[in-house]
Amino acid sequence: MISCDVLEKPHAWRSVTVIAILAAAFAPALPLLWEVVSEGSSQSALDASFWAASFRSVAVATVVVAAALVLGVPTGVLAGLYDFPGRRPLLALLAIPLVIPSFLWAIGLSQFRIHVGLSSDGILSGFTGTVLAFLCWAISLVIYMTLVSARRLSKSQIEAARICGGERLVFSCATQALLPAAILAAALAGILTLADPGPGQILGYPGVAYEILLSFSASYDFALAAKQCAGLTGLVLILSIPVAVFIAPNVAVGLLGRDIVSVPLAKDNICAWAASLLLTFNVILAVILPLTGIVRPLFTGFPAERALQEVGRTVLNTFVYGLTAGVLAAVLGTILAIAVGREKTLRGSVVVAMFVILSLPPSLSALGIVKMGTLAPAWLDPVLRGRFTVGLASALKFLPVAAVLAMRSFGSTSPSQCLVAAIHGISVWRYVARILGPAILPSAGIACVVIALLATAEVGTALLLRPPGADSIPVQIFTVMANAPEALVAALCFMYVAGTAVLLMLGWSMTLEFRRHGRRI
Amino acid sequence: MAAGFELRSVSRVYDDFAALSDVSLRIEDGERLAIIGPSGCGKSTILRLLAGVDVPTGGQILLDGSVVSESGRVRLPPHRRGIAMVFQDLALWPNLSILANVKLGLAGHRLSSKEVDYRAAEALALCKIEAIADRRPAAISGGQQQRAALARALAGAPRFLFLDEPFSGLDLVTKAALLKDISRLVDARNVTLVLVTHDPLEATSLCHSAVLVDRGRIETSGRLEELLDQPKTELLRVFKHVMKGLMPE
Amino acid sequence: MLPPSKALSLLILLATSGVAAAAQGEVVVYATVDDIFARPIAEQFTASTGITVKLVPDTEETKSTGLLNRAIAEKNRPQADVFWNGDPIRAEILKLRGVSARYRSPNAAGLPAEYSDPEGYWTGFSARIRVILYNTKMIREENAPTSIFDFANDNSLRGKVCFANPLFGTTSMQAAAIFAILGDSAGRDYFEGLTRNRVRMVSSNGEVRRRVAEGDCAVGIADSDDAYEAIKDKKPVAVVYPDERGIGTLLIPNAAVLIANSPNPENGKRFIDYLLSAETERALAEGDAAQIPLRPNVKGPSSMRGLNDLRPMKVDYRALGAKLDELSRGFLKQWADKNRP
Repeated sequence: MISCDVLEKPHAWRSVTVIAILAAAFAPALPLLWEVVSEGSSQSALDASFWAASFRSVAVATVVVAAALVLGVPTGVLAGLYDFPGRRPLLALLAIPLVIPSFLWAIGLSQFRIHVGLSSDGILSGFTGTVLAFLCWAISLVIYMTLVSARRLSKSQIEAARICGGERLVFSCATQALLPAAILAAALAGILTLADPGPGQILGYPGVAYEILLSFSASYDFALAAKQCAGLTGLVLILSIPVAVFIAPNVAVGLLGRDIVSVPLAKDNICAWAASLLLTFNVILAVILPLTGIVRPLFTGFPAERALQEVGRTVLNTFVYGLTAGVLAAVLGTILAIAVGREKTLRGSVVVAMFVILSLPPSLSALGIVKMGTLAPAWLDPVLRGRFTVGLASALKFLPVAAVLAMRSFGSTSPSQCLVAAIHGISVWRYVARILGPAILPSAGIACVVIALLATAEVGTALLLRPPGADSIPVQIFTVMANAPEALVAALCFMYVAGTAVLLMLGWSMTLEFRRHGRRI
Repeated sequence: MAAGFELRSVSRVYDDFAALSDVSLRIEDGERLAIIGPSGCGKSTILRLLAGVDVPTGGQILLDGSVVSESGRVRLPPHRRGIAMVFQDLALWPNLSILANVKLGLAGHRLSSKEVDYRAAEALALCKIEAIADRRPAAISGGQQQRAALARALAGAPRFLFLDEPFSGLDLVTKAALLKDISRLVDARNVTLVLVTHDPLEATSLCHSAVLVDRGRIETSGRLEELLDQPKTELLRVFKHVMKGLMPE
Repeated sequence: MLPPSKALSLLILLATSGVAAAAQGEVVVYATVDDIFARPIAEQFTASTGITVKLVPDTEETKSTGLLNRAIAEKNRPQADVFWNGDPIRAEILKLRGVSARYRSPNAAGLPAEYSDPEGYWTGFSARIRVILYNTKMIREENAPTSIFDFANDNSLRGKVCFANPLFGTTSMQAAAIFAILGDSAGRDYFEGLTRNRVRMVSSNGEVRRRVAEGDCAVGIADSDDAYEAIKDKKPVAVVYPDERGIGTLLIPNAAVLIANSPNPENGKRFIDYLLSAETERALAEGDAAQIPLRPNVKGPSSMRGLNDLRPMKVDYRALGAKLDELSRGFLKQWADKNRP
């Protein structure tokens, strides 16, 4: 019998498990990276054009990070501590950019710009337009991370600050305490912008991901693209290591979580008004403006029948891809979290690895899986060439999200629970099944929903890996948008966004239901 | 005008649970009052209402004769009531050093940074924790954390000091030393003390008067010595018995 | 509500389904042609033959790493039987990469040979045309440009022309064609002229259509199906067939490709036969695709001119592939970098 205290003691199995899971996450990228080594490319990958594009990408990422912090942190702090009318609907709206393909948002902004008659050299184009398109996503992420962290502050900490210096001090202390988590979220968002060619392409400020896309889609030079991806990964490592060294330990401590009484939402008038105004501003900026551009064609008519036909054909695939990704990522993330445990070094290393995983362009891994599927025997087709494959690739891409949520959840369990179980002779399997599993299951459920939505929105992977005849709704939007009537594209987008909003509300209700039954998330 | 706090028929209801019902109490300047009672009887609720971090459902709370809280409304915010509070879980901010936590206690006062530094250093010295000023809460012992929370409370020279079961989990020697130091500091600074506890040693070490709370109501109140001399409730009888065991004649 | 174990079992079952096994009565078609045009054709084929078509459509190239890469990556064990390309350059790339197989369909008779690969690796049918699109509220008919060279030379169009990224799609084919016809030096001069005349590079033909329709640009160049879509949506746009007195209008035929070592080669051949039939050309002409039939005896779309009424550009489609490869790594890439907004 393996005693359950193995979960709280240092042991080689931890490193082995972490390495195995990270290897699985990086494995799809290996076939193309191997091509770099074995075949090479006739072209030099890291030429002046690549560096110029990298500079543009880093410039955009830097401004996005800074702006997301400036706008997102105060909003997240206030929304996390104060209650005000419309808080929930506004927060639900703010989640939409997180689960919508970035291309769509960029097109929406572009359409909005044209509709209001702004110049193509103006604020909604070029550098500023690209920053704004990415900011929609980044602001949401920072606000949510800050808000969730704010809910983890203890009631007595907030009350102590309130007694010492009123709401001003509460805001100041909370901001200071939540800044590491917010910086981590902003850094993650910044790194994701490096691997996303969409907004820069559409709004006229293409970055390094565009260079990679060129190699894939204009030159069909896989080796060149892979070299460039390796260059991008190196850039991400350089940028993410300082974050991991200085920020991750603080966040890692926060990741441990504590069993605390969280602060109830206060109803202070001035702060509630400030929260309401800030949140409304961010929702208008990040959601309403681009959404207006996207759905404008619907004002002249809604092609419901045709849109429903398309949705009907693709909705099952959408669910299967999303749920498969969510379940797989939640399981892998949970195993990773248990393996990391409370070990500082492992935790810091995993945080850096998560940054790198998120920065890899999806097409690198997807094409790698295509190659693997080609080389593998036919009996492996269900794993490497089926619907499962799309889910698997997305799960590996979004593993970092599941891992962070799982690490927080594991961290909030007390080590003494395990030690008491060990004293009573409970095996590790029984402990996981009866004690640890139920404790971290709510968090795994939330991770599953979040990743299902993120995976569905990530179109590049599904495009390359979906089996013939198995399109999802976002893939369908992208394949018809070139020449379908604008109203049809707008209707499909609208239905996708509405469906996503419903799922988000369901996820929120699930969270509240868990909390009502006294379960921690 | 009466100096100090007064609760007039205060009640506090959470959903359909009455944590406090019709509680009336006076706490005069210079008093050292223990609020005692079994777990879940509403002791901490009284403290939180006095501090202004919770709102009464009914009744009024007055400070020096002026209404500071009433049904559904806090008229005077916590940081203007001249209070300091040490919570059961101490409420130290984990990302700040002990010195920074203590300086937090002075945030509501309009002081120059020099004055803040001076007062913080003074509070740390008073609580005998100057040596750990640069450390974070996670890096010090339970007893040191208690002293840090106390230093933060005392740095602002409060008029009222509220202690909400702050000595949980401490060993007897550490607790005894802390009780002695708190008593000395409270006397030296002429602070009005309100202690929530269910420990007779803490109550008798620090306080002269007591209020006994049970199921959200005040059962009895008066000089602690008199209450223990002629215990009218089971809890007081147990208190007396325990005190006899600790300090046999 | 299903118990969790049953829900998980159902998910696993659904997820591991969808594998394109070598099954009877099925053909897998990768199509870079727009889904709304390709799907009705596929459905018609199924209705007439009983063979299920599993259509895999693509996005605009600028939005993602596309289907062509997938086909190249799958070369050693392909999932697709047929690759239906919207232009011959991508078909040529498949040939050069060893992805396609030779197949001369009996239905290719009647299609002009100059639009197909002489070695039989791809066969051209139903074409789009590169057209000039202009906003009728901003430019009068009599002032509309009649040549793509006007974009570079006409000062009145300075800053008003939208041009899709020449590294992708049919614009890349047009760029290669210009270089092939004019020569490298004149080709470079042309693009530099576009730069001097402040032409606005946008991400795709669809974007050109949107911007011209909204009045953000006065003029653009796109494909005939983009133009038709805007006209159908009752946008204030009109079409000019460029260079009728000059180098001619570029025709972009579809190209049908049989994938080598595919799982269902016989069904693949039948699908190609169907694509190359007069019936398909008619359907693509009459439907929303508004494509020009290459067969002289098939009537074209009423909204577009027929082949006989056009002056097609004389290009060697096979050679365009190699030309484009050279340009996309060199001059065109630099031009695109320089002209991004």
